[in-house]
Amino acid sequence: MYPKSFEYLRAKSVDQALQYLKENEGSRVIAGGQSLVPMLKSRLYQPTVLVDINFIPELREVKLESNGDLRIGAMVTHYDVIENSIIRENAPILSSTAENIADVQIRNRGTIGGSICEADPSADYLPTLMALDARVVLKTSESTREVKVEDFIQGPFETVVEDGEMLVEVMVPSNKSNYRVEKYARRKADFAIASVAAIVSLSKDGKVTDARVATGAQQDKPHRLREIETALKGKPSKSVDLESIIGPATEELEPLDDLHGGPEYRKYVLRGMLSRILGDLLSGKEAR
Amino acid sequence: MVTVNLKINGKQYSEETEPRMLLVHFIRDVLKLKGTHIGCDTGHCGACTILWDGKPVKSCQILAVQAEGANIMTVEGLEPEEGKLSIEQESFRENFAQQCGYCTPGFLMMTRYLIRNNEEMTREEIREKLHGNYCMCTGYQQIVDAVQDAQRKYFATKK
Amino acid sequence: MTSQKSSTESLVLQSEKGTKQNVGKRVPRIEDLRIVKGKAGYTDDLEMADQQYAAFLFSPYAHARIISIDVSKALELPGVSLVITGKEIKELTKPMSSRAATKSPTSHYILAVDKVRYMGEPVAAVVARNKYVAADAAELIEVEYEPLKVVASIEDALKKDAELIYPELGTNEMITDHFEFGDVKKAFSEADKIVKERIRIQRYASTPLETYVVNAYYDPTREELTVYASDQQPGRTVQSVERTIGIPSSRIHLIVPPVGGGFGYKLAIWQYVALVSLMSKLVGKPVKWVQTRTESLYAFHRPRGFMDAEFALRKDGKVLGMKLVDWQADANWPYVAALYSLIKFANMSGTYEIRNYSFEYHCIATNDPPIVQDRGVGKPFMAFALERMMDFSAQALGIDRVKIRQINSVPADKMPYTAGSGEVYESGNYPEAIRRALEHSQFKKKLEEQAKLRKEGRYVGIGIATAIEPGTSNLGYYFLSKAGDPDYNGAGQMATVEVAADGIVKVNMNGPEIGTGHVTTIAQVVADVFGISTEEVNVDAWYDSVHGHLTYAGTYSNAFNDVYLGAVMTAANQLKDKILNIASSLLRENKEDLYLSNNYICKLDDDQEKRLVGLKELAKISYGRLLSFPKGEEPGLKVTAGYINRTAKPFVRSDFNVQLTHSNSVHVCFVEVFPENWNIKILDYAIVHDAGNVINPGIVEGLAIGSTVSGIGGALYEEFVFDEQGTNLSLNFGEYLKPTAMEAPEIRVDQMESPAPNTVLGTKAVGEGGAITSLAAVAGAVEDALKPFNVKITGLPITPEKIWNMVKDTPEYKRIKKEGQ
Ligand SMILES: Cc1cc2nc3c(=O)[nH]c(=O)nc-3n(C[C@H](O)[C@H](O)[C@H](O)COP(=O)(O)OP(=O)(O)OC[C@H]3O[C@@H](n4cnc5c(N)ncnc54)[C@H](O)[C@@H]3O)c2cc1C
Ligand code: FES
Ligand code: FES
Repeated sequence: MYPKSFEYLRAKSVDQALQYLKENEGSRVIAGGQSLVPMLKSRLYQPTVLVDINFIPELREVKLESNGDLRIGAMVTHYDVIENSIIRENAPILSSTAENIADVQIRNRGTIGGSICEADPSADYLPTLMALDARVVLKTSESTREVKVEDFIQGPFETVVEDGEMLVEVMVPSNKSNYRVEKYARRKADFAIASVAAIVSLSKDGKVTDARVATGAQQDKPHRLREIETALKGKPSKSVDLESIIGPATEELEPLDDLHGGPEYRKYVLRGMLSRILGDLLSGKEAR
Repeated sequence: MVTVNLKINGKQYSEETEPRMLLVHFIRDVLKLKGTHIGCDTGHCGACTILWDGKPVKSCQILAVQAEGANIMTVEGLEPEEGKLSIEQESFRENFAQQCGYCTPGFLMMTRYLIRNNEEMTREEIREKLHGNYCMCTGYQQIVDAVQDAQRKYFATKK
Repeated sequence: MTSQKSSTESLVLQSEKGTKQNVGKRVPRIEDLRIVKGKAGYTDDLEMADQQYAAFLFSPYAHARIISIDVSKALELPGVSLVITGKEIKELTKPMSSRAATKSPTSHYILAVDKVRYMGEPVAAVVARNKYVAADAAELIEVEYEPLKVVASIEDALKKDAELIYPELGTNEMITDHFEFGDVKKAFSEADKIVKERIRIQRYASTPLETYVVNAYYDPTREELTVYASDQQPGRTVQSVERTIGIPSSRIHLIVPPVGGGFGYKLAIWQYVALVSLMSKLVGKPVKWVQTRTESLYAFHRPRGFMDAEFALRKDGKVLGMKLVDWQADANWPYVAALYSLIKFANMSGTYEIRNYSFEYHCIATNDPPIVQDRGVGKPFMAFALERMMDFSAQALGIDRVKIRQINSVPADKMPYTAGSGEVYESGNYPEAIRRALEHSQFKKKLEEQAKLRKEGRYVGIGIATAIEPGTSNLGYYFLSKAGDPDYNGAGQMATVEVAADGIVKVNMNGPEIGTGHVTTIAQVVADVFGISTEEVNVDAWYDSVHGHLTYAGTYSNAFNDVYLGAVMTAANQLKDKILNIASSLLRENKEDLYLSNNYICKLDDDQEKRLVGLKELAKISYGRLLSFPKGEEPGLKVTAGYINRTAKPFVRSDFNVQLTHSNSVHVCFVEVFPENWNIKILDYAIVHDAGNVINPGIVEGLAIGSTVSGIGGALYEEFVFDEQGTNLSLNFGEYLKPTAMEAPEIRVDQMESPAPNTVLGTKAVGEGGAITSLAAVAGAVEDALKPFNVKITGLPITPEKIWNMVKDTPEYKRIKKEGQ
């Protein structure tokens, strides 16, 4: 478990990092390294050049825009996502999501940008970010583009990031509505067997004004369950028959199949979670 | 070869390393601080836990070159003075919190961090915070005892 | 302070006059002083001058012929000094031979020759200047394989046209045997009811946190091998290194620093000790190998298999007889073949008085990776099968599962009890242990709680299991499986005790310290012999072959409490006797009036302790002032003594014992199963544990808890999964799930003490009980929780997904799903 040799370039600014990426074919960004280092150890990845973006202070910033959008730097750690008061206040679901990730040590080092770029179908942030309609900002030395997280993820461990490109920021619209975010795994640090991020707003008279539901660890990539959202929106929360919605809305899913859970079981767990979580949200129970 | 400058247990080091060397190997094989252990290849077991600017991280999950300028503490830095055990060390010994002891340095570093950065923790909370550290021997119970004890002792020093 | 005066003749610690000073107390562990400072000094913490590093290339195939190996690129890499493959190994070494098996293959070497038989078998080895370059070199070795048909299961292995793992043996059924005790036929003909079940066990393993580490240097000037290794059974390793690579055992200096966990896994390190030693000899430099976690998960697990169990029952629950047929994938590499089966056999009737039974076993070669004597060896599965059968029998007869256990328990007044097979249970009170377990676990209250919660639609369950935990194997099973008189049997140990020239009491137990508190335990007992405090005894945690050792010396089979302590006590008492002799002639006092206390030779004067001479002074005389040294005594204060537990019976096939002490425990487990995902949570766990006299309650309780959590891992989480090509899919701790602090329950231990009459201090085994008893307690609890679904648990691990598959077509499931809507 000893990485193969590579060249190491320590970037001091975003521009320098982009320059390094451009100049070196076969280069790869190292962020928190919590997914990358094990891959280097097992030599599953053998990059020729590593560009370290840990020494770029601007990537660690969290800003609140006047329109209510949060701009979270790529290098903000899971720990910071939990602790940062701007995030906690404006996107509490994101802070709660970070609490579900790995363990204390890994959360101190792993970053939101790294987790998104890793694109693990069972990773915790992705369903939440999708539910929040978050976007990522990608940069090359020449250009900048913004992509919705939903479009950013292409498949298992596959994203739209191109050679020479880097994720610099995550744009998260503020959302303080009632939410639940949960993962089910055998042990806490394990990747999810099923995960759900759900946000539901109710009007004073109990009508569903907004509903966002996303799931992970099911298909080859996390995604929104729009059928459920549509079925809920505008309905009086008391009169919703969840079972008749959840069943059909999850029928077409083709969940993952591995040692941690077969497809049928994953679907079973997902349905149970959805039914309890949405039940709670529709009855207006606040998050613990 | 790249030169890494870092501080460990209050002492400044400046050593050459290949970029690919893991921080845990750097600590063990280059700096000869053998108290930090290796128990897995994948970041699961926590045997390699060190404090980095006061916060626990897994040193097998970091490259040595990334520790440029870092302020690190390993198990060797726990003793307040030669021959005197720290609160954490004392509690682990008094509570039989180790058998083979291979996991112990990792748990001690976690304890150093946890008891200082949390309100009084329940046993369940302690278990939750320690789940990134594996112990194959003790079944964890006496480790939880030790952490609780250490926190009690720590709070007593604050009074 | 009361002083201690003990008989020098007897091995037993306290005379009537004496008082216990250290034994029985919760003395903080001495070894922890180093551990908590990060200075324990494990094998990997040591380096030699000009240290080189080894790496191995492991087979990605479970079964394949090696067509060619090209090492040229690896050899060209700067920093690489050696690459070896099966070609060299075949010339330089002898094949491995089997220990327990009647037949031994002739084609299995310490490195694969011509063929690989499991995924993870070492195929080539390199030596380089550091670990990273060694890994680079291993990656550059090019091997061409021709895959062979994989024997992926017992069923596969027994097919008519099955591929043979060892063609030279002509069969995959390596060993099979049948034993019968009492009148089984009669028992079955008289039975009111017969219960039959196939019970399965998965592959799982103990995975100590420290992996294998070997550091070897062959010194060509002295023609001597010095090797450091994280080894549990160094006596055996010396012998195996001699046999495979041909260095005479008298020229092998093997040292075992403190070991980061053993659990049996490190009994198999000898293969790598041999390989690394050979590599050092070839390069002329010290060579170190540190196994990676991935490598450690390739092989050396418990075997998978199944047992067909049949019970003949009387209406009232009495077990009249049983038939057990055991099938075990002993994997390839038959050196531990049969051991698991035979150890099951020795513990077949558990804590019960069952007189008529038969046992048949089949050890089958497959392409599973090799197995090792993992914590408890065959006992956990045997206890699982037996206790599950007790539950099934109770269900079939419609009687209470506690009652059936009570009815069948060996009555206290029959102790010592000789089991049907001849195994002798030296002491214990099994009915009392059950009674105390019911009380300790608040069993009745739990039943009420369960009834209440079940009404609320919650699935909680209680499981109870009882089992014996044998200690000190006399390795008698070798007589059962090997022809003739095996060269390898008996239970014994050597130890050295000295008063050094500076007056300090030093002990070398000369066995590996694997984390089970040997240093402190020995310090406690020796401190009492010399009348000093525990901290004043300097116990060496290192095994070192130069001190002398018996062939099978090692830390395994729960032998510490018996033969290690026996050897230490023998040496300590001999030394004490010698000291008193010397003192008596120097001081012209009656030897009988003298005793040791607080580092002085004392005598009582008007009931007052009078210090006559210090140990330090006496040491000075004994080592240096030889002119004034008494005649008739040898100078120096050092004694090396050997000890054998002689209570084993001679071996006869129809009547013999294999283990010399028998602890016992009762576990009561309380669980809840959650229908949302069928996850299982242990709500409470209570243990009654009887391990004879307890020297240090802190240590013994820790071992009881730790071994139980390891068993819970096996019951709920751990399994090595292989695909049909024999590929191991569980090569990291994200796929092979160990319990963490969150999965481990709070465990309450109630300690009973039925002293063993046949060990020096009345102690018994303590290291394995939890791993043995917990499997059935957990399974019983989960099954009980799921009673409304009427499911039967016959295999492990019990995962939520498996439960879902068991329950999802039941009427209760349909009912709750309907209600949920
Ligand atoms: C034991 C263990 C348990 C874990 N459990 C969980 C869990 O429960 N839930 C969960 O969600 N995750 C879990 N993780 C993964 C963890 O969250 C990682 O931190 C995260 O996936 C990667 O973030 P990182 O900053 O460490 O990225 P790195 O490992 O540095 O990078 C990951 C990948 O993204 C690329 N990359 C990183 N940053 C950028 C960027 N800015 N632009 C372009 N490419 C980039 C890298 O090149 C690399 O390919 C676990 C990891 C471990 C080791
Ligand atoms: S060695 Fe670092 S987590 Fe296991
Ligand atoms: S004490 Fe051995 S791993 Fe924890």
